[in-house]
Amino acid sequence: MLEGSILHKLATAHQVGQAGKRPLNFGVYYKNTLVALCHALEDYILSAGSAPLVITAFQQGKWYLQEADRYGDIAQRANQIVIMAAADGGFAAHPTSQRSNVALVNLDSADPVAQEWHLMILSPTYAAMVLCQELSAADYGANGVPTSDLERKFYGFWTFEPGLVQETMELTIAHIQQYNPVLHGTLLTHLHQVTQPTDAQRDDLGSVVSRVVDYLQHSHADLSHPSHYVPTHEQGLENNLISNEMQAFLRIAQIIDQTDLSNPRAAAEVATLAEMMGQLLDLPAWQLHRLRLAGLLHRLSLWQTGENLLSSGTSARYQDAPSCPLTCSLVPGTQVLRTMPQLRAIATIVTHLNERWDGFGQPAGLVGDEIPLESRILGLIASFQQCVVRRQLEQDASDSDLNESLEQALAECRGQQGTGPTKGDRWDPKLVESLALLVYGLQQGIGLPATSPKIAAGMWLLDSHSSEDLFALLDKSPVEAGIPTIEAIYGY
Amino acid sequence: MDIEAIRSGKLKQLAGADLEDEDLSGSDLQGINLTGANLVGTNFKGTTLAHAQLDGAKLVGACCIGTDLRANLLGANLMQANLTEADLRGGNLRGANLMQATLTQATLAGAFLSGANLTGVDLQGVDLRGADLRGANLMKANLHGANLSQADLQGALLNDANLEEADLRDANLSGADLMGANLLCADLEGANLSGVNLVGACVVGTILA
Repeated sequence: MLEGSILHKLATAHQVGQAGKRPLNFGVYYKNTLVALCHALEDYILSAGSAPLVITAFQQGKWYLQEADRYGDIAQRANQIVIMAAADGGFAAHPTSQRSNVALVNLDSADPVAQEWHLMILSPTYAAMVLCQELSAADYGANGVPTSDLERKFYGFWTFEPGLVQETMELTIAHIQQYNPVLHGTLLTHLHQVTQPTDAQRDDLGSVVSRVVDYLQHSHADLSHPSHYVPTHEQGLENNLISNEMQAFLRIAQIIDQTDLSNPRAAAEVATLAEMMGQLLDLPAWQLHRLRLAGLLHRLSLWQTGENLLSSGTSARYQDAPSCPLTCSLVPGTQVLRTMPQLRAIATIVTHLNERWDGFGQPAGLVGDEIPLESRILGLIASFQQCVVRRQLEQDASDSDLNESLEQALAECRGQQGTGPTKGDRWDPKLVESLALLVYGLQQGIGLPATSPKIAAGMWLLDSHSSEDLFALLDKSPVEAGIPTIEAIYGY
Repeated sequence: MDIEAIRSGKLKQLAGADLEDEDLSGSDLQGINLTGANLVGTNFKGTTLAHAQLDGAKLVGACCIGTDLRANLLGANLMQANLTEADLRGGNLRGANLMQATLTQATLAGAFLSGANLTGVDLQGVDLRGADLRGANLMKANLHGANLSQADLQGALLNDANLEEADLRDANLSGADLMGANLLCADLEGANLSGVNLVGACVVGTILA
């Protein structure tokens, strides 16, 4: 990593062990991935609810010139735009560069920032950032620097976290001071303005993510175009695009967790517990992966509903939800998942995790085995995990009280089961039995494990089963569909 | 050989049997004994071979797509076998030969692969969490985006391997040879790196703490 670059400065501040800072999780990006990603995040400014401060680094002026017309439109909606690039002929002459709210910073070609690709957007209602650096000739290794522009590789990360965007903007504005002290002062004022607390509702992250996925998919479609066809690296480019589509959803899940201060590790814990439950049930590997991924994304089911996960205790309610599962699509948070065909099964699982075993759940009122097995597992585990966390908070518990919280949470899940011949069970009774086994295991010292997901590298969780149509499979026999039934698992 | 009897599970003791190119797809062969059997080109697509004895078996070019292979494959020859989406969790693959095998989306979490030959194998995005890969030969293997967290790679040969974006958190890499490996954006948080050879390795964006 180039010393003195913005990425290096930020990474140094976030090294493992730095108090209050999470280590940054870097990924690799092909140029066409970055172009699609940046276009999506930039274009969203045109429909965002407030005017942002935008700071960019383009490496060379010629790359900016390719985007200068688009930036003219964006400038009409932005508070202030800063373009950093090594000077090229015509760079400053473009009409966009002449606008009063567009400032150019002519980077010294020896400045490490001239090797970086940055897009920082911060407004009171919208935050997004792409922070990357191109591989050096040595980093490309034995194969050398690629000859095709499409295959140029960058590393870094992207995010929707306002805190990180602000921190990076502060570092960048400090870097700009050596070039233009007046602009430095102006930018500090702008940054102060856009970071003031506001009552304005944040822009809909779902729309941003839909746009990101859409642009990446278009970029993907372009790959099969003969003029862009790069046989040797096509798979790498394709995987890079798909990986980033998935990252968009994982990043929403990350934001949801971060904004819920009382349960900030819900996604990771639910994913791990659900996978453990799947192992107890001896589910096949692909189903465990599907459970894990659905676990990481499960909170999207309550997203946009305005319901607090902890205080609601039960589930979101959609009075107008249809009864037919095939047309059931009114859980807004999970709708966005459907924009990525590879996640079709995941979207279905997350949509139905608030069904009830007795058929009185939402959104489709599915009964018993009609509810996809993963939705049943995830619903129970998510409720259990919330309960454990709530108990821990109530007791201000130390680790030694975890066993008690686990016990109480299990009792609470059992208490949601009906009694007598009419039953009225909230959960699949056999899964509640399995949960008891899982709790026993946790109490024996396994603890509440939760490795935070490595967002930039989630491709190992995707396989051909992630895109299955679960309800089409329900019409087949379980053997045909390759789905183990609970009865088969339990041997009756 | 009475294939129907095998498929129905009536014949289970088949050590040393010759089942070359036979079709055993979609069968439940749990616990079958195929020690040292000739299974060259045999079709096991979607077959359950959990707890099967396949030690020393010849599975060269066998079709094991989506096969439950949580089995004993000690020293088995799986060269050129198609193991796409195969379930090899906790399987015993010590000393097995997996050269030129297809392992796309296979699951090898907790598998015992010490001394296995995985030279040049494509293991992109494969789940190898907690796998035992001590002394395994992974030279030039493609482990891009693979999950190797908590894997034991003590003394493994990873020369020129592609570990780009791989998750190596809490892995044991002591004494491993990573000369010329690509560790671009790999995550090695908590990994044991004592005695690791990183000469010529690309460690850009790598978390090494």
